[in-house]
Amino acid sequence: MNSIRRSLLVFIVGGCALVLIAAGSTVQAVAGSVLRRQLDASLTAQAKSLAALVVFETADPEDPADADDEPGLVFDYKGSLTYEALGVLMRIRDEEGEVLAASPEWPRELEHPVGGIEPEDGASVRSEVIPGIGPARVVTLAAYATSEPDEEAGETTGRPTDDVVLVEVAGSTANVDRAVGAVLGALLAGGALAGAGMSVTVWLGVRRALQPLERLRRGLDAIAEADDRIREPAANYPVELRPVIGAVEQLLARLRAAMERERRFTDAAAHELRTPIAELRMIADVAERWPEQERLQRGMAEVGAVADEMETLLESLLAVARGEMHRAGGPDEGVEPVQLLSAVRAALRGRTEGLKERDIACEAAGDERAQWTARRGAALAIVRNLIDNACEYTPPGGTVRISARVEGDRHILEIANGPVDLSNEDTERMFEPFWRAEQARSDRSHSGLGLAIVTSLAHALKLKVSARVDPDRTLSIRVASGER
Amino acid sequence: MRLLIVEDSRRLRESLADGLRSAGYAVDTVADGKQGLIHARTTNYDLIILDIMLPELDGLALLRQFRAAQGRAPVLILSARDRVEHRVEGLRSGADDYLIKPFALEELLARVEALCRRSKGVTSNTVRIGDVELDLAARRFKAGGREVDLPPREYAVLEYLFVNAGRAVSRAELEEHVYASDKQVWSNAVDSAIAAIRRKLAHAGVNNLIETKRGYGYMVAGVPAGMQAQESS
Repeated sequence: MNSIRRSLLVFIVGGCALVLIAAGSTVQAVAGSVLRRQLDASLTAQAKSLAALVVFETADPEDPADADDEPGLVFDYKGSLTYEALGVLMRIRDEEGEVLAASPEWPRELEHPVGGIEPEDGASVRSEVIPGIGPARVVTLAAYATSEPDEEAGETTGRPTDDVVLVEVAGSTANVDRAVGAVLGALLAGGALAGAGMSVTVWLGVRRALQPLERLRRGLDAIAEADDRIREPAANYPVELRPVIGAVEQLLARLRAAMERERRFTDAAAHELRTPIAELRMIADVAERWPEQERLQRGMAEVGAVADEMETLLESLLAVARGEMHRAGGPDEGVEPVQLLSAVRAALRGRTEGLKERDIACEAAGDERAQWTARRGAALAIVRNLIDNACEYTPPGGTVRISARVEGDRHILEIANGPVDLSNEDTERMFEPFWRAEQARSDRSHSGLGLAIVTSLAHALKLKVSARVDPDRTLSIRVASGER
Repeated sequence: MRLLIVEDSRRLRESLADGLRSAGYAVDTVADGKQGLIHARTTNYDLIILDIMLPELDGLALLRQFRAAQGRAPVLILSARDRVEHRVEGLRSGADDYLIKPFALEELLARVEALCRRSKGVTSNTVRIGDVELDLAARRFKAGGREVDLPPREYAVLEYLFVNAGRAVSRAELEEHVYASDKQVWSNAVDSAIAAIRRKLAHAGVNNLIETKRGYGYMVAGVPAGMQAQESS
């Protein structure tokens, strides 16, 4: 299950557990290393002490007891060399490998070559497993044997000789391992306690931190049609949630605007469709109740005219719907360059007389290069609807000016007509279906869908539509390619 | 009864007028709100049928101005606006009834009859004075138990006198309520209709139902059964 609470718990507790494990491992490794180094240092010191006990003994010519003795290296220690007595195992050999002294438990298999180690090399340490004592550290070092002190000369210690001895000392690591184990146990116990405490703390903290989300959910649940705002002010929420609340408020505002547009559309559509139906119904009812020949004939003619108008309305609605379909990602085929001035001239064909009769001045001019790369039918429908709209709603004596031009990458068609009784506020709604400056329908030759078709097709063709009303009461509608 | 239709849709306006005229009403028609208000203020209509979305002056604005000027004629709104708030707004603006487009002619006629009847204080479809009985719904007239066939115009004259029984009605008022403004009314049209009605009543054995008020007009005496006493208008 995708849960913020669970994710936070897993990440925080898991992350802390990993940190604890890493810290514990480091402590354990460092403690083990330090203890081993201490053990090694202790063994080395012991080895040096043992080496100091090796002396080069010479025979005293005045002492008959030494008459038979050969001069040589002697380990001058009379005590026990057992593991129990020393706490370590030891062995001392001379340069030829002859053992001068050794613990009785020193294992035979623990051999180390004699050559190659010089007193200047210092001690070397290695790990071994020794029967009887288990894992152990073995220190090997070479040292110069000393001579017997010349008591007559007042020496208390002998002088170093050229004879080298190899001292080996092996000490058990059991104590070190026990100490490291104790540290690990303490770390595990502490880590487990810390983990449990952290889990509880994090769970409580996450629960508290997520409370505003629950409040927000309740606020959103409480949004009703009549009260479509989040009642609690955004300032009452944590800063992390305020952008979310702002986004939700904006979404609600867009939804309100869309619903208002939808309501206006359905109201207008109902009006546009109910009135012709009412006409048909009334014509039929009257003819049925008073079926006189003349009334029947007149009624049939009217029914035909209503059917034509409804067909036109249906075609217009379908044109809007098709535009919306293309806008929503329909096929983008049949695209070709459509020369704007040619399209304008085609749309004006047959309108000249009507405009003259109404004393409307109409001029179309501009750049012949101006063109839209678009589906021809849709582009022509845009031009035709704009020109129909301008010609139809320009009062007698007014003007219609059509211009096509190229500005950089933009190819622009602009249609200006006036004077009109419109404001710039009207331009925000004039592209909605069924919008009319005069909401009454005294003349149903126009469906009120012309500009809705324009905007729908323009969006489908990625053309930008804008409109403005100038102070001289001229309405200018501009359709441009290459603009976003 | 004389009605005013204020409707911008030409076909609906004409077919409505055709139907209502065929049903015996005198009907005037206008296509915009401004003209509608002028007609409503200057003519004493028995009923105004009013669309809402009108050019020049919105139907609701027309209605408010008419009521503010003490216009008393009942108003029936015909509109495609079908939501509850629209109907409430229409009725609160001063309308007496609200009918949503499209509608059946029968329903419209029934509502028109009911509104006209109510405005005249008639509580029943049948109005009787002595042996004479008028069925306002069926638009039939009986005298001495026998049905008397009256053409629509004569029926309209008699109906108007009946619903105004006990009050002298001038010739001008009769003309105003029985004949539409677009029809040419002969100067003796009302007198001729009264004479024709009297002949038919006499043939049915009913005399002296309609009194002549010399130099003024006519009157049906007495308050008929099926009517509330009403103040003079």
